[in-house]
Amino acid sequence: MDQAGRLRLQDDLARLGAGDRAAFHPVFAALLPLLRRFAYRSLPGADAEDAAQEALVKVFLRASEFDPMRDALSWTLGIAAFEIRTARRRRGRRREVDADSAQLAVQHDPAASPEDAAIAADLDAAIDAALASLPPADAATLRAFAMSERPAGVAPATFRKRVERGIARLREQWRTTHGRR
Amino acid sequence: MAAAEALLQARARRAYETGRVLLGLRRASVVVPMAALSLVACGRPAATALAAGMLAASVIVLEWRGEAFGRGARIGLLAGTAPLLLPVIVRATVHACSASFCVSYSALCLASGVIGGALLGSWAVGRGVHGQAVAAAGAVASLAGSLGCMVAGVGGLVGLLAGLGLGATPLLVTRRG
Repeated sequence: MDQAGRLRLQDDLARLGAGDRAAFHPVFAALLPLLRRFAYRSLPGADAEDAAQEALVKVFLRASEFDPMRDALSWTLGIAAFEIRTARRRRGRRREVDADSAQLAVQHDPAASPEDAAIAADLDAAIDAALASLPPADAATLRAFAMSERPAGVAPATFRKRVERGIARLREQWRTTHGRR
Repeated sequence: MAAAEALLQARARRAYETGRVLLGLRRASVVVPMAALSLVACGRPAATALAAGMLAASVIVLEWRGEAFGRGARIGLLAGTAPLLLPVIVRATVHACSASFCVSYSALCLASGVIGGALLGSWAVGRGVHGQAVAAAGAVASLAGSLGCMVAGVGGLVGLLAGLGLGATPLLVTRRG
């Protein structure tokens, strides 16, 4: 946004904040493309559009609180940045939930989209990192369990207990690193 | 795309109007302590509730409307502070009558109304505010002041209105001239 546009936004947002409805459309027209560009820098496609729209609505909800002594552009982008952070957290949680269910299947699906494959690769890396942080015996037990194998000389009941203990530690480790089970 | 943008614009508009109402509610919250003071000092719950309700509703509507009306609501609240507080403070701290002197609450309301009216008038003249906004500010000042002046009954309210008029009129007439 150039200097003239910035000054115009400052003036329009100050008028809107004071209750001048005639300033609504100019502010809307100035902010929509700006917030879209800002959101698309940090988020992919649909998430960016959602975050830009949420940010725009929040700006209008809080327009009456705008202090004309503050810089309008910084104030607006501050609200947008918060919305983008929220969208990223939401996206991260979605990925974790996916990781709990369908992503392992997608990984081996040759028809999976590049995005699904990338998500599956990320998930693999996260699981490897979590396994690496466990005691070697737990990691070995869980790897064997994942391959449906049981080490020779270990009784089934003992192996089951080791698996349960390993999963509990893995969950704890995952929660520490990613914030959720 | 145009339809989606129109929907977004409608959503933004609703958000903006909601924000204005929330602003009005926040600003009107000042009426709560004013009403509590009036209730304690004047002991007229029905009248206090009526005046406080009308005052809160006025502030919410004027703040929602915004521009000069919103500023008028704030100036009106400020202008109504003197007639609200003065009779209440006098009643709480001074004996209404001594051997040689009786406090006239109506006169107090008249005097504090003049102060509030002068404040209103100077604001209107200084900012070049249009008549409707001045009237709205005057209504808010009257309602705010009435919360204190109802201690003197109808006489207090008449004194308050006369004081507001006396304080504001000279300044407003000067502006026209």
